[in-house]
Amino acid sequence: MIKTNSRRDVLKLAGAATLASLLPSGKSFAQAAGNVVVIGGGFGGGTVAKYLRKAGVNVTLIDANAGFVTCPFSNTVLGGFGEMRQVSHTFDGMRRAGVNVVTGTVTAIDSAAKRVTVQGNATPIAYDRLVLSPGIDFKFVGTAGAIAGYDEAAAEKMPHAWKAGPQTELLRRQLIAMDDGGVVVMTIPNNPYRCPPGPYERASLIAHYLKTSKPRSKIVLLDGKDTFSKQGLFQAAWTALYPGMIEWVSFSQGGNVARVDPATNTVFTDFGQHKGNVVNVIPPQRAGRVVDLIPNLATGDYCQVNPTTFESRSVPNVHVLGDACVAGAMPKSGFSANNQGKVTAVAVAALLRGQAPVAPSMINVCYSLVNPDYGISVSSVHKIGDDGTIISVPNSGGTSPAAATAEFRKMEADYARGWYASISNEIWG
Amino acid sequence: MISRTICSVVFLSLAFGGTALAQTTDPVVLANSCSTCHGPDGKGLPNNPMPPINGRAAPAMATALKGFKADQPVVTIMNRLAKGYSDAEIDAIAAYFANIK
Repeated sequence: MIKTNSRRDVLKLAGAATLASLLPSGKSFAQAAGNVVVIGGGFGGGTVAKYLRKAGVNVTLIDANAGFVTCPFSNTVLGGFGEMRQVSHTFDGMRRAGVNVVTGTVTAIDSAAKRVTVQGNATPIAYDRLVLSPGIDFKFVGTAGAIAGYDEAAAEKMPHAWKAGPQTELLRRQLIAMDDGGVVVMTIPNNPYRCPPGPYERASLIAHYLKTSKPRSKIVLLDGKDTFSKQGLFQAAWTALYPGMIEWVSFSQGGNVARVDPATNTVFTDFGQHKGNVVNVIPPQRAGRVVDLIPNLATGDYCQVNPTTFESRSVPNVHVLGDACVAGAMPKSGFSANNQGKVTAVAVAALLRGQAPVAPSMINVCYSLVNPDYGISVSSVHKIGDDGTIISVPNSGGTSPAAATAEFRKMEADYARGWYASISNEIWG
Repeated sequence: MISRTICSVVFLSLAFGGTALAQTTDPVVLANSCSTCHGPDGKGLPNNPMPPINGRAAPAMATALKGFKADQPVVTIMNRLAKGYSDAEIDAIAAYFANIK
């Protein structure tokens, strides 16, 4: 169960390193008994870092990039009414909060000696607890479950845009270059994947752009499943706003993608083939590959964790959260990662003090825009169930109502923007 | 806020002997979920449609949240979220934010 460090252990630990490296200036000893290394500066890792600093813990945040571009709201860029700068964040706010930010690729993790090696840095970074929030990586050719023909080179022709950044800009450029009357093909994986309603929001906002600029164009969604998040709300909105423009092909109708050919922009399903002027392949996914640096951390595609602390079930002193972990009823979303980050920070701070972690409480809200003034949402409240997994509290949460006024949809669109501003400020502000 | 965290964690740690998991959720942990939309410590952000929720009298805040739970009034997301909390949890959340000025 939970290891309770005695104060003497903590003092020994402090003596082993230099006190100066362990203690932020002006903080009491009780608030700072340890070093935490966080890998990944997104919704999960960024939240952990900020909240650990609030608890007075020393935090080093390592990210391969100098900043973070969010997938949430990147679909507004594809829709032609958002800009990359609005979804791009630096780590300056982390530094202001006292986080030691290291930019570089992690090349080794020694979970026995508790240290992390960053490319180009001769001296490994020691930790008392390590938090991994690496998000997802894609299953490219050569990985079990990958789409045949889809690798990193293919993604330069058929962008995934499922990690926001240059891929988002590439897909946007392709949409701008497409002639009126063109066909956009989007492939959508089976569960689990990052942001369950995201592909359908993307289809909606691309349709918004096409309706405005290229109204004879079509969008074909090739789906690896038969149902999807907020399905009734999305489909009703498509009928009302984009009649005849979006064709959804479910798994049973032949939507499952077996192979792609980037040379001809063709997608091959179990039943046939679809050629697109623009092809957006959202590939099957797995935990960010940095988890592979620790043997047995991942079980299959993702990491099993204790839902009270998000500590790995298999490797002590290593916590995994966000898209990379298995979090029961919580979807893989930025909001989930943020709430998991808060629970993890409170738990890690308690564990560093030799105290028992408290029971978690989390929520998730996924807003989707179907046009700039039409928002829909799905929400849930989460606790630990009797079986020890994260459950949704019964008779709570759920989606926006099927019947609602235009004013209601507009309010949810405004709240979606308000949510984005708030969560971004909380993490990177 | 930090001292409140420490006090409540210490209390639960003592109450449960430091080994068994506490079954009662800490008010800080409950309230942390709210700040994702309602700003740091519930203080809101300028020009944001999500209202600040700090510094309101606890009974009024609790009544409002229990109203959301009963769909009175019907709003957007808060009816669905409030249903996920017991009345005792709502009282704890209201008391927590009332103390943040």
